[in-house]
Amino acid sequence: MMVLRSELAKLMSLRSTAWCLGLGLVLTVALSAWVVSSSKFYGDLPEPADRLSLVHQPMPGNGSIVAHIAAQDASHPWAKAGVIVKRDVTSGSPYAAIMLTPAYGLRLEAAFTTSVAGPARPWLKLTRSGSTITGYASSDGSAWDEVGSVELAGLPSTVEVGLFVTSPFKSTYMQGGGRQGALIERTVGRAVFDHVRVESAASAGTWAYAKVEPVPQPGEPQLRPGPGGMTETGGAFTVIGEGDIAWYGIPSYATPDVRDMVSDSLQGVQIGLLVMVVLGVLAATGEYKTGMIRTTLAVNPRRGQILAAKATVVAAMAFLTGLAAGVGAFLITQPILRGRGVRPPAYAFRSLAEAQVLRAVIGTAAVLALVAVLAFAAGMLLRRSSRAIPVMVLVVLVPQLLGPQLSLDADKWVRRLTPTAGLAIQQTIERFDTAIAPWPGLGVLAAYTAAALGLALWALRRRNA
Amino acid sequence: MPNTIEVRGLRKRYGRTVAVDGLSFRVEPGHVTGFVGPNGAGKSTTMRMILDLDAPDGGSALVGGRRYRTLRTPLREVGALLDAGAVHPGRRGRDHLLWMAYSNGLPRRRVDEVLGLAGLAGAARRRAGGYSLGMRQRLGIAAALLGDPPILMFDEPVNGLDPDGVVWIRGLLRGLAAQGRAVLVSSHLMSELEDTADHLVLIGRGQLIADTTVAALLAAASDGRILVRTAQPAQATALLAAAGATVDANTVDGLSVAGLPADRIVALLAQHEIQVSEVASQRASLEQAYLALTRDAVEFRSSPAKEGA
Amino acid sequence: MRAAVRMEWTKLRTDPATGWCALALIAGTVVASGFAEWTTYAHDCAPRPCTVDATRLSLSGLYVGQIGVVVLAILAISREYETAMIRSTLAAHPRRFLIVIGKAGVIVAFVAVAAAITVAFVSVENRVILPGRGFAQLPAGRAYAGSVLYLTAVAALSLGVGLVVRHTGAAIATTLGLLYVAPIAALFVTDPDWQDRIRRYAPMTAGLGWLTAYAAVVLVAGAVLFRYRDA
Repeated sequence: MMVLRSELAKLMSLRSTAWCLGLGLVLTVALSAWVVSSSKFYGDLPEPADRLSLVHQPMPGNGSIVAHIAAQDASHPWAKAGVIVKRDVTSGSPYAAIMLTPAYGLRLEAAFTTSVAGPARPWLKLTRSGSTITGYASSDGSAWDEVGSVELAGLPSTVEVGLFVTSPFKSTYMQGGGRQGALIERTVGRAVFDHVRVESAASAGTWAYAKVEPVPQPGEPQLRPGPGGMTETGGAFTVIGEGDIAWYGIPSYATPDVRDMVSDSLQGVQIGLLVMVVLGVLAATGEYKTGMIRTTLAVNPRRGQILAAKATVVAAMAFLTGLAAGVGAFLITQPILRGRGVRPPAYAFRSLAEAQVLRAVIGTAAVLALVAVLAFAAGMLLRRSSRAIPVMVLVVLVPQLLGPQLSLDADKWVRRLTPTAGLAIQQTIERFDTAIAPWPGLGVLAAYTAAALGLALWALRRRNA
Repeated sequence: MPNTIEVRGLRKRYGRTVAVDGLSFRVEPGHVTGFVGPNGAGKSTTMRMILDLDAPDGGSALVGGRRYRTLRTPLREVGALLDAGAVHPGRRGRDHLLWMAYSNGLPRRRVDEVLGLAGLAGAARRRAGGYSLGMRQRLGIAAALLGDPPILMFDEPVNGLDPDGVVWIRGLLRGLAAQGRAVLVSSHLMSELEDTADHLVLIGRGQLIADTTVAALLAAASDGRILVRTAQPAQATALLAAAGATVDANTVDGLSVAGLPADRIVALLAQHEIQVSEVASQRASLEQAYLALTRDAVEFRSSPAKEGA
Repeated sequence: MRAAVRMEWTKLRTDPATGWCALALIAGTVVASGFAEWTTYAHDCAPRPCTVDATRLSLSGLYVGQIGVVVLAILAISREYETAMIRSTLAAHPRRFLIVIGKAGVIVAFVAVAAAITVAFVSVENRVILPGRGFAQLPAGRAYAGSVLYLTAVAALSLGVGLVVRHTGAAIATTLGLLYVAPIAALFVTDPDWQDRIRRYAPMTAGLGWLTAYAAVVLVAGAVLFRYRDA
């Protein structure tokens, strides 16, 4: 369309446009790189360690352990109750376990790194054959569905089998006055097992109770002794325990404050936002400052068309630049992160080929485009850059600084209801401070932009040039 | 000495463009000096350098024998109207003059005086953004008069004024000059200055073309030619040429004849029964003289439309 | 000198934008601080070492209000360039360094007064809202005085940027960028050493000493450019 061409020519001939696009690209990438270079990640990974309550007996050679979970307290979404095959009763020794959780159904987990989901059935069985351990679930105790099997190399001929209960610590995150903290509470897991039997060639042993705990490193504080214990009445074992068997790769290990590496790599967007605000505002106010708006409207009195063309051109320029910046930032930051210890098993390598990463990068470009158009609408409405730029900074940057001063709930509401919600599109992990899901967040920003454009159109039609 | 503007060898370039190139002239008190040249000739640049707004690359510009920036109360020495649009639209006209008055220690009542002189007393309390072009021009003139200075510079003061305003300005400028002030008025239209200026400084492409009085310029351009309007230009031309005159048949007003007195022309043409509708002394307009002089110095000229296009 | 100050004061007080910016400072700070105090209780971050700092909470409104100060100081110089009125100013008063001193002095004094009014309102807010939110100790007078000085330093910094950049939109964006981008980036930096470094040197969080130094450097640079550039 002719209008698009003329508006594109106008925008590209503004010196400020070239500045904004160039600076935006460079500064966004630079800031992203700087943020990740100034971040510290786990240098030495801690050794895997587990903390659990175990009711066990030794099992020589191959065999199975079967149990029925009669009840489990919902003490934590990741509380675990199930049967386990473990090399010995020390913390950190290899294991394979099949278990039920209150919120995540049935899991087969092993060797601190493997976790497989399965159908949630109350009957659980683990069978050891050599170094292969296979997990089964059943709804009645007779028809068993195989859930999966794992290889545990280096198992001795006699292993410990038994029932276990864990319940992880619960972290409650809080914030206010610019500070954040976490309240860490122990939770107490409790489960009742019945129909427990060990199927093996050797004779059955006696059940023993053990509380498996990691040995504190020198200098680390020692936790107070936690809850534990086992009671048996008529073949039903009631076991009380705390802690968790997990490490990187096991979903329950991820705490709500783990860093979102993808969104952290794209934080150069903060300065990109400011630059796009300037681009959008000046595209609008330039015409008013010079009085050129009259020429523009005389050449084409269809004001809606003019507004749409200008907005489209601004959006396209901002999007393309934002895309280049996002891709550039991501590509530059990944090697930097790798160099600073962000590697498996703690963190997975991310690449642009993943859907989530693509969503974050393209979404960032979309956010920059939407903010540029919002700024443009603000410029058309307010007609002076000295009014429009402060207003835009107020809705796009200030909420991110004001938020940490407020309580966590208030902060989340601020980030849901202001245009900053758009930044949620960069999220790949749900954290304790996640205010809104990615797509709804982008939707909030898009709604603001659409409303502002509508208002600008109404004003443009009503006003004298 | 105190009432002159003296420019010597002034030079200024912006990037690769040489705006002013070795300009020298004097503005004396007691008459209106017109500063004329095509658009882009360097008039505004020169005026800015006189006011020390832009730094010259070479040469000097002195007012009353001193550099502008050494003046303690410059508004009392030099009053200038450079750009009438240079007002903050949010501010009231009176307040615009008020801050200027304070900057030079002038009393508040002087502001009201010059507002009266400029005919803006009624509009003084309105926001300058609402002023018409003519009103803003008057505001600028009022600002120039604020300190009652002996030297005055006006850049295109007639821009945007209606015929009444043009007459008023003319009278104002002549009156100021008659009071013994040095008045420099720049314009790119010669016709404006015809009845206002006594002395002319013509520049083109940053260089001086002429520094002369209006009378001398007119006289040089007129050259004693006679304008003859006739229904038979071809015969008349031949006849007069045969009689020894030089005839320019290409002017739009008729034949421009030099070398013969008017009565001789009339007699000659009547003898051959050639109808003549007008015989007049051709008074060259200042415009033509100016165009002739600046023909080579014009930077921006539109190309004539192609014949038969 | 007196002439320069009178001229600049007249310009400042007769520009309607000045009043609006002052209003933005006062209203913006009061509303934002009020909102922060209204929504945040002392127990919202109770486990030690996280205790909600009542002073930081009550002055968080400055994140909003300081925008008014930035715009005020920048408009005072950039509008002159935009309207070409700078030529009238320089023609009326060619001694350029005095103009900068006059402008800076007048702006700083005005902002100091507006800031004092602002913190007065905020202190009333504190008295009314904070006790009901579980805060035992109210912010001390030192915090209020510090805020006033902070805002005047921001005004000086903004004027300096305006003198250097001369274009309204670019100057405002640059100043707001200098103030806001570093603290926001700090939220995503996980190395506590770097977070500390940013806090110590970023203009908004660095404390009065560093902020005044930054403002002085930028203002001097702006003054020198003002003196030697073409109008």
